[in-house]
Amino acid sequence: MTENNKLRCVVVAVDGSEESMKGLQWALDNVKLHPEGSLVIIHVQSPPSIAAGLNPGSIPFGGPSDLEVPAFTAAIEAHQRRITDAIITHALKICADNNAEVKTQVLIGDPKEKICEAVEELHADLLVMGCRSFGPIKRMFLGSVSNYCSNHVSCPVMIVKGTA
Amino acid sequence: MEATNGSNETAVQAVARDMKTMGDGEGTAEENSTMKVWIAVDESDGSFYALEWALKHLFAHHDADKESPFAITVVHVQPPFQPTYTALPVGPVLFATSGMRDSVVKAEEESAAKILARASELCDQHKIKVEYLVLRGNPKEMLVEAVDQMDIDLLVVGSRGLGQIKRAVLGSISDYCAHHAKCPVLIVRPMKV
Repeated sequence: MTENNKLRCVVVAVDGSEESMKGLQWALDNVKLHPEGSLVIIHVQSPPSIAAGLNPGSIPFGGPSDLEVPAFTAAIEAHQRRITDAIITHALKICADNNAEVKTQVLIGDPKEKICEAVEELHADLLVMGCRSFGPIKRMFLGSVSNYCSNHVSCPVMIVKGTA
Repeated sequence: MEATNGSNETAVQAVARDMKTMGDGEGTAEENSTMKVWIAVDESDGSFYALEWALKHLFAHHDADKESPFAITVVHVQPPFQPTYTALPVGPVLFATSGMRDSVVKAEEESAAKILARASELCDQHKIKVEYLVLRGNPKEMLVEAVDQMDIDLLVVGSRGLGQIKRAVLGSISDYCAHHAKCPVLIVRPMKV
């Protein structure tokens, strides 16, 4: 029983926001891992079609209505990848500052579902997320991804908000 | 009701004052680096699971000998006693006579004592020193307010694992705390067997 005391796998979900980086920072500061444990940073990239935000059919040049124009998709993917790389680099830099060894994982898909899936697959003991709050209603709502994950994931969830 | 709320607030502030003066007495240098953690418990098993999880995973590896960087407090918030109390599931709303009020107050104190006893058993099992605190009031609001006033660094709450509909109707304390508390919130959900 005593061996189970240490956290074996801690998953930190990051996106581009400051709050998620704060979450990462918090995890690095305060979570003590099992010697064999690991900290896994997960970034979920939105799939190209959703990122497009618009129906390709509505583009003026009148592309194919349901099929994605390959070049369009590829361009979006490349852009996404650049963003992802920047985020991961930033996250790794924070980890390097703290002299921590971490693993990173990039998933593509709907953030809510992918995070929950990843937590299941990795048998995570703890999920750490930041919570982004938009607009004037800043502190009134929990971000939708954090909300979904805290309700559906099977492990404890730590929600780190930007300090007031 | 306002009188009760007013005294609740001063109760929290009084405790905050006490805690601060205690901290000063023990050495101010520690106070800054000590992380104040509050664990909210009530009668539900979910909250005790959360307490146990926190004890096992977050604090277990700090030996009792060394100074623990955590200042842990187990908090129980008692819903306030309402003067118009329906003691019976059927029947008219009873206005509490003073006798009834006393007995309800006593019952509440007993249940609070039981909860704290259970919590202290758990903490003793894990050999972790904790303090205990009982607040009166609406749990959601009290927790958030107290966290704010006392500069808590981490709040740990259990979750009853309510489904979507029940959550909307009954209201979820863990959701509310996660929304509104100013500090990081750890929500420990019951293990899916």
